[in-house]
Amino acid sequence: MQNRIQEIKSFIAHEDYSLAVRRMLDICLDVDNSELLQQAIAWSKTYHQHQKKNNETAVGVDFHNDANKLLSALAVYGNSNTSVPKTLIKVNAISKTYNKGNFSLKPISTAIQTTNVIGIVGENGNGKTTFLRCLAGQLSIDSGNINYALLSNPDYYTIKHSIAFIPQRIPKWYGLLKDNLHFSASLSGITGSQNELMVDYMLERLNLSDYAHLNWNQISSGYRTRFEIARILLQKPSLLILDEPLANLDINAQQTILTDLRYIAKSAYHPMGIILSSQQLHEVEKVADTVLFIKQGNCLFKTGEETNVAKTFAIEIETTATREELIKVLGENEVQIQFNGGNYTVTSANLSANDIISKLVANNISLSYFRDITNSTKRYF
Amino acid sequence: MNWNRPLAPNFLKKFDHNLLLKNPETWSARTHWVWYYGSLFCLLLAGICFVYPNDARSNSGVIYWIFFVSIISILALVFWLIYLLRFNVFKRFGNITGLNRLKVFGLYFASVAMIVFFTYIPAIVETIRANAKYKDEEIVKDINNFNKLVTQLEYDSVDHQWRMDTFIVREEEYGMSDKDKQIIELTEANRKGGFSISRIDSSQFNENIKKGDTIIRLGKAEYEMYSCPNYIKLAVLNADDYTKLKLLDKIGIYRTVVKDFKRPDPKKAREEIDALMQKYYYKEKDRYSRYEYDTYSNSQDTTYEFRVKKRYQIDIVESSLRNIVERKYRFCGNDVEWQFRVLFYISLCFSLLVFAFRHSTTKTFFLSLLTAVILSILTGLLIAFSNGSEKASMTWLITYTLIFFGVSFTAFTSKTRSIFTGICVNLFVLNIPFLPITIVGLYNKIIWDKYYELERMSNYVKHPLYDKYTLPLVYGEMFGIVLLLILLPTLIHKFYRKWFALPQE
Repeated sequence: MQNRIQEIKSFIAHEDYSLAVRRMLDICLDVDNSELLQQAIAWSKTYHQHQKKNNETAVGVDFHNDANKLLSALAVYGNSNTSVPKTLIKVNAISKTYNKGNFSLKPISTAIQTTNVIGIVGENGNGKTTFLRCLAGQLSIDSGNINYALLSNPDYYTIKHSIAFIPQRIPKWYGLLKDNLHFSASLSGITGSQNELMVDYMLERLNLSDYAHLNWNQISSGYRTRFEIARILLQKPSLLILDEPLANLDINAQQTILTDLRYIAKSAYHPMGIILSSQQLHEVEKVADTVLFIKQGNCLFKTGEETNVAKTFAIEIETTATREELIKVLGENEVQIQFNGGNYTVTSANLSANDIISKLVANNISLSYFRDITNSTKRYF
Repeated sequence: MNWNRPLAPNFLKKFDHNLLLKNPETWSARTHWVWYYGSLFCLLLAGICFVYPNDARSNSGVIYWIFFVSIISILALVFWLIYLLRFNVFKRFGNITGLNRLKVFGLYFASVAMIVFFTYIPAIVETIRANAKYKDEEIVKDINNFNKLVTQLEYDSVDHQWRMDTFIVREEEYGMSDKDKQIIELTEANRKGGFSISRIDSSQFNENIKKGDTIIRLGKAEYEMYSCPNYIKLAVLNADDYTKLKLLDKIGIYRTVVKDFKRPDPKKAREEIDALMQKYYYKEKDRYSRYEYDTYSNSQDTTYEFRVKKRYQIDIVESSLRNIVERKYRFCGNDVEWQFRVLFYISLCFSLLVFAFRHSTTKTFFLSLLTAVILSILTGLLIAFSNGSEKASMTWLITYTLIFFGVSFTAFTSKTRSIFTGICVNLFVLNIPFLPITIVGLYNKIIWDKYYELERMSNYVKHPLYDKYTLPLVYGEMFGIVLLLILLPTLIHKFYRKWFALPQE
């Protein structure tokens, strides 16, 4: 707890107020104290109102005072609320072939624990959504099995009750957005004042309060994704499956959502497993504990498997230099260079990413972008 | 005014919000709003119907009102469905129990019933207005007075001769026994002049006793029946169905007026009857309804009966009284039972459709309806080509329901969600309330046919099975509802829960 409090203090000290507010809300939920959570929500609202009015990061003295009060109240809590990971589902060589069409998902095995974030990456039409829908119980599987470890003899209703699936194309909501959130919460057994509190919490946590009184047609597709996540989280699923959740989000929102998902997965209040598919490889790799790369229905890569340990170093760069200049600097026998029209991919058995960058900088090669992709699924694209 | 929910009081808004937080299934059915706005609309409609000029003596225009209000009801149903379809508690995999499902069905039923009830308002208002203006006993008293006054005033013109019939009660139902022949011969020998003798059986005899004004027994099995002249000029059926004071029949008029006739003061009698005529005289506005009025004006008929009718405007008065009686007793006795059935079955059928729609996919629901239509057509053709009877159609209906029931169980064993199973579950749900009444109907039909067959074979002797014929259909109706209410939270709940959650192929 002390570490988390220090983390928030650090965020406030460095004026990362948005992050501080979100973390404060998370901690107040984790300690399971309604009064503190209400105060944190009020504090968050104050911040958002202030942000809306001034459109700048400076906040008033009251904000700091309230933050200190909340942090003092949280200081009395120990570390008892940290969650212990439990296995949610074990996927054993599941495969799927559609009756119509010639696509087949080849056998894939994996396991998902609470607090885990698993990223599924791959090109379009290669089986990511099929795999996710099989996990969510939406599609039947042809072979293999899925063991839902936390459920004893579950039927599909129970499975779907505890596993939430957010499709890429989210079905339209009808009525007020806030009513939808209340409805989902109460349908999951969160009733009365607790319902109000949790909906307020979720709106503040995902910074959606300003849009809660609107309806579906009045918000952008990015906000629709966020509202859908809020709705699903209110149902407290054990496993959250998101199909391309970043597709409709801007670059900042992508980062925010991914960070939030990571925190939510590790929440002490309700730890859960999260599986998401995306084309945003680097963003997903940053937050995912495990990444699965699926190509033409086959799982080609899974982080953590010994067979997948990279044997060569790889770096992706964007530069104005030509291929010949790069080879001259790095040595013809040391590297292989591929160009995809925008970026160069430099692979080497001997030179690490740091060595390559050092050589390029030392030879005045201008770089506008570089990324070490040695352990990234990007290598397989 | 809040245009989202105009005229909504704060307490109802709070209630609505509380339902949202605590009872999502109740909240999503929107029954509280349907009943609130429905009640407001009923009050408004009732107010309009009260203000609208509507003479109780006129032909009722309630059918036009019903047509007009039916359109509003349909619009209200559509409006309710738009709100209802926004939130579906059954497809979110939330904490829904069997009793929740039953409750939601009840709420759908209550909502539809309220909307259908709109169409009853104009008729109810008409009835209230007619009852307020004309008391039950007043109508009967006026009719009796009218008939008595006409009889008094027309005393000299009426033929007071009683009609006589002679008949013997035969011993055998069919044919004529030697004993019957002897009686006829004896009777003819004892009577003067030629007259016909009717031979009747004991049941006809009992009927004649009821109809005959006086019956004299001549011998062991021979009777003379006397019929009183018809003194009833103004006859209004059912006017005394719900009153202590009864309408005088022709014998009643005979006894009170003719038997000990005292000539009335003609001026006073004429004034009294004029007052009654004025009270019930109503000239219809449209030409079609003014038939009686126009007939009096234009007809060349010079018979006594017509002249009496014209003199006392009997057809017009009778028509007015009939209109009043129709309005007053529209919701009494068998009529109210029939009216309730219309309301009940429309609400039930619509609720079942909405319930099935909310539980299945759109494709499955509409395919279920299509299947029902196709099965009906095919079965109809099959029955027609095989010279089948209503017994065959009832047997098919029962068979289909049992098949749907059997196939519905595959929801428990299937590994994928099959449209076929969904269709069977839907059709089972739609059929189940009507299964018991169909079985009762079929049983009755079988017994009835058997009775006829046995009766024919045993030379028309009444068979004991006859008494078992009428196993009341109402038991079947009631049991159908009970069966639905039992199966909804149990088996049907499980069928839908299992089937909808299954993965797709």
